[in-house]
Amino acid sequence: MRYILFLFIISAGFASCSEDFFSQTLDIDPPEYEKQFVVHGFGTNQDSSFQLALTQNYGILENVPDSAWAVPGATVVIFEDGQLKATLGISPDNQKVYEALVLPDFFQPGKIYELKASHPDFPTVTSRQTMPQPVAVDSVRFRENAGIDGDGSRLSAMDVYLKDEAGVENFYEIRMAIFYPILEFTYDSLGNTIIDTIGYQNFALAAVDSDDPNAELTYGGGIAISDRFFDGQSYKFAARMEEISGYTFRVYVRAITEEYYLWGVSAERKYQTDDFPLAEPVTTYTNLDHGIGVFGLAHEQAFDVE
Amino acid sequence: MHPPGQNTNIAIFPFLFSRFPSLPAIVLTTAGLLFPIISFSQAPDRYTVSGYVSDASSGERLIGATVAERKSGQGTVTNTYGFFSLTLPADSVLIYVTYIGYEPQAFSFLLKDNPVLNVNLHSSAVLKEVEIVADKYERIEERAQMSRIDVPIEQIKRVPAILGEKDVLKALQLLPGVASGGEGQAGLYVRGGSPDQNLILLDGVPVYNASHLFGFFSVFNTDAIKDVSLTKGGFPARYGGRLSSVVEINMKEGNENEFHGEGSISTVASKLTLEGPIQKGKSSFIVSGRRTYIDVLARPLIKSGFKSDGSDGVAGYYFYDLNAKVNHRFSDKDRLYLSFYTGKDKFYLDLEERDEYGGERNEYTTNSGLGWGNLTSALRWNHLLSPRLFANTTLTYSRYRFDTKAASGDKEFENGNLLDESSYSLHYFSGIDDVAAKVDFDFVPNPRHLVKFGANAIVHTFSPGRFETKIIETEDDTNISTVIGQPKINATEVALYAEDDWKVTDRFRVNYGLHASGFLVKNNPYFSLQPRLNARYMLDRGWALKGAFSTMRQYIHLLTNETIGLPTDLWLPTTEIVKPQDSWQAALGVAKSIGKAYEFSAEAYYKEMKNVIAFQEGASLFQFDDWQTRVSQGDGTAYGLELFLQKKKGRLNGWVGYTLSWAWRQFDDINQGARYPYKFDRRHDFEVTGSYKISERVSVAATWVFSTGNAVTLGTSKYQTPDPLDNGYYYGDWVTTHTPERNNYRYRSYNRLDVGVDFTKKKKRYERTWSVGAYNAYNRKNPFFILLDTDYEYVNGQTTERSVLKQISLFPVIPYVSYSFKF
Repeated sequence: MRYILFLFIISAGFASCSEDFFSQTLDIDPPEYEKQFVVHGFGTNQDSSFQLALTQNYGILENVPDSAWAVPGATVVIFEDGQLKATLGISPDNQKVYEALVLPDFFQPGKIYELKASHPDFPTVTSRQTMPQPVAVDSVRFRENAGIDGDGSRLSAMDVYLKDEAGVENFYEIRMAIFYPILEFTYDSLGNTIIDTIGYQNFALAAVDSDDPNAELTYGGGIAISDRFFDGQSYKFAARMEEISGYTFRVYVRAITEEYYLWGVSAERKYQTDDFPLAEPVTTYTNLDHGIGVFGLAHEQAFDVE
Repeated sequence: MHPPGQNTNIAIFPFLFSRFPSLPAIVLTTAGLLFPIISFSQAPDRYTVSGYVSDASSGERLIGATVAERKSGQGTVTNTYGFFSLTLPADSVLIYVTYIGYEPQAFSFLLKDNPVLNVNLHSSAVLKEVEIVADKYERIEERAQMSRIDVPIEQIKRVPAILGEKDVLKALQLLPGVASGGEGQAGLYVRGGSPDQNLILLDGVPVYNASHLFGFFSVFNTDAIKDVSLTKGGFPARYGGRLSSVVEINMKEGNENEFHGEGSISTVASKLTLEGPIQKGKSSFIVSGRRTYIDVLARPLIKSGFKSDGSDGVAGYYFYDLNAKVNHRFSDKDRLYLSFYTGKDKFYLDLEERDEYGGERNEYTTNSGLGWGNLTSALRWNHLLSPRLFANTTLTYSRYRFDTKAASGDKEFENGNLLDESSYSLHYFSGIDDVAAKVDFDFVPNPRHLVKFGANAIVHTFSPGRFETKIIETEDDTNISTVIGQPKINATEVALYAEDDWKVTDRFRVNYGLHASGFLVKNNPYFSLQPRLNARYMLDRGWALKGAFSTMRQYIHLLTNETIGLPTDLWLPTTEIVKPQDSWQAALGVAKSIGKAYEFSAEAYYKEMKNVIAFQEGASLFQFDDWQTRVSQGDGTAYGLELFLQKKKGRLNGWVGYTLSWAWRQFDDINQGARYPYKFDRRHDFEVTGSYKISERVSVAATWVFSTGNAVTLGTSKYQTPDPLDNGYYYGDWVTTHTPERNNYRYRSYNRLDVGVDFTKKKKRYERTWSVGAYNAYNRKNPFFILLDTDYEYVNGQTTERSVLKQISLFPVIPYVSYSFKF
């Protein structure tokens, strides 16, 4: 009897608790953060202009406003080998980015480029890159029936045959696009459909993977590799894509900086797993002092492949 | 008094080699090279007293009983099998055999040959009542080995536990140097190590997944366990194969004189243990089973729930354990044990639905299940080769399986005739099987040396994960069967060891040895030599100064989710790509027995680990490509200070532990190559647990723990990343979080109080105990995980959103009541 009484007292004790007592959720304070510039700037030797997304970070409980793309009032400059090369301003055509018209000799291989962005409300960010030397490409070939992916779907591949420079740490990236026909549909007097090709659109293709185990997907649909696996040798580097044929492909073979490589790989991993709580956390690489993001350079060569 | 059953001596080595021509010869040769002491011959004026010490009522062998000769001051303790060997000068001797909780016995006789002294100690009723937990073990300052803690099973049974389910691993988490994982988890993180670096042995057989119900309970049924020990550093040479700890759990042998039983009914499970003689005084058995029954109790409710949704079905979860052991004593020299354990967890869901429209009928079925479990078995032969050489030969089999199945079917009938049928099934399977043989020798050349040496070989079969899918559709004659996965991998692991526990002087004692191991997988051989050293120097006033150095190598790896104890654990071998893990650890400390009841130790340690394994950034268990491409190998460093005060005797017993520690990881391709705190890096970890016997009938127990929160990775800010393709296809504009580094954020500290009261009453034929208590008695909201969420508020017909960071806790205050009995 006394045990029953004991249990009754315990039960009564619980019954007197408020609803909050049983709640297993607690609001907690967000971590502290420093307001910083967020920079995404990618330069190549092919650019007719250089654009830079210069935004800012927000607290994790704040909203990121759609209209707050480019931080206004920032001073953004680029130095080439220590000399001021260009001053960027907000693009008149696109309020989202800072832009500089690129001089013909901009982003020269072997030259050092330094980005500096300053603003009274933010810590000044700087980043330095050395423009990579071009990669020696022997040939680029399209390959059908390049295997299947994890879902059993067929894949095609683009094989790039390149020659690596010995003794230098290089990073290579492949990006792909197709010339997609722009069609116009008209009808004749009998109601028949007439299809005319009125132009072509360069449509980016995302790489799915590589049959090369050392290759890594990069943010933006590319695939990249470090030459530490084949230093100084001729090498076939393949990018696989969803099965596709019958188009003209444009293949961009790029020599990229190590920082660009590290950012591209980490940003892609972050993108792929951001919504999956059981995936291991990803820290996105940055090469900006006092900022977030990347200033990356690539020496790019384009090849058209049937 | 004269010893019972005196035997004449047997020549050691001729006998040994005639019975075991090869392996012992190799082992002895190795040992002989390492330890000149083995070649010591017995002086003609010295003889050896040897035998076993047992509990008189049950026949259970007593581990760690003290056997000492009064005049010479020479003494020893019994080994894991209750065996001792003591070599003394030919003279009249007075030998005391003591084991607290038992009446001591003395034997006086003239030592003129090598007698066998088998001692049956009677438990002291008075002592047992008052001194709840016996001091079964060598005093802490006596032994050379450091970083080892023996936890009496009686003490473990008194620690209040969640839902009243007493748990060995949860009790070990309360020791200094051992961190628990998440809330309620059974995982052990020893001195900055990961769970796969713990060798958990049940009767000498590795248990690969020691968790039930996602880690909330361990697989060890306390009613079937005899003793538990944890070694977290200063590893003697006999241990190998893991970097961070060895947990040895020995099952009871079974009462060889009388039939007994015990059992319990708690909120979550029921247990029953039976033990007794098969042939009185010679052989015995013990069988112990445990099963949860929430699935049985909830079945009518679940069925009715499905019924109200228009379907027939049943769903549930259960786990069970079954331990069994038999042993037979063939003679004073030979004893055989056969032990067995199996346990399994299972979730299941079986559903049937039916639709009818006129003459048409559709039937849908769903069957799915998730199961995992261990099986271990061991055949052990104790053989006394001579009064000074004891051999233990063991054959073991161990298995862990994870198995999940999901199937659905659809049948379409018209006017009772089957029109079409389709079915889809998925089966995933992974596991590991071990077949092993080992032989261990205890050799006592003289009272100053105890030499242990031996060898073992394990054949591992890894099943790294295999998917089988089957699709059948009669409508278009589809019949597809696919198998995706990696083939089984066989690997062989071998080890040789030799160690000597040497009392150099009365003050200085050392345990030194060498462990040599090898691993062969797909024709890739790996070898390792691992020196081990423990030393003790007795200072004044009973303080012992201790130091230890050990190197360890681990050839098998575990891919697991460290957040919750998912059963998807994947054990994998060292390969050409994934290298073995290595570590070295040094420790320095002091130890002292304070009075008769207390033991105190303080230890500082430093540990470095190489090639520890972790998932790459972004990787997860839920990928089915080659596992080797998803892992990284790097370095780990751990250091800290541990303080431990234990009271094993008296009305009040328990312990207080404190750990100040740091644990780091560094991988070239994680956190941009920078060092970061390990998830279970705990700056402070404090625990106190104790029980107090108020009267013969009532005892109370409480545990309080406090620890620094786990380190987790949490974005500190967020930003928008531009669409790199600038066409909205594939990427689009993407808002992501900025995480400056891995494990940059700390959960708030963890603390918890558990309380329990036992009401015991002796009835005519049995003794019963009612236990009531509460886990997390003051309802602390301890963090389980944190979540970035959105709260919605409705004000004046308008909905507003607000981002919030929420901490989710798992267990509020959880009361328990259980009833146990023994006869």
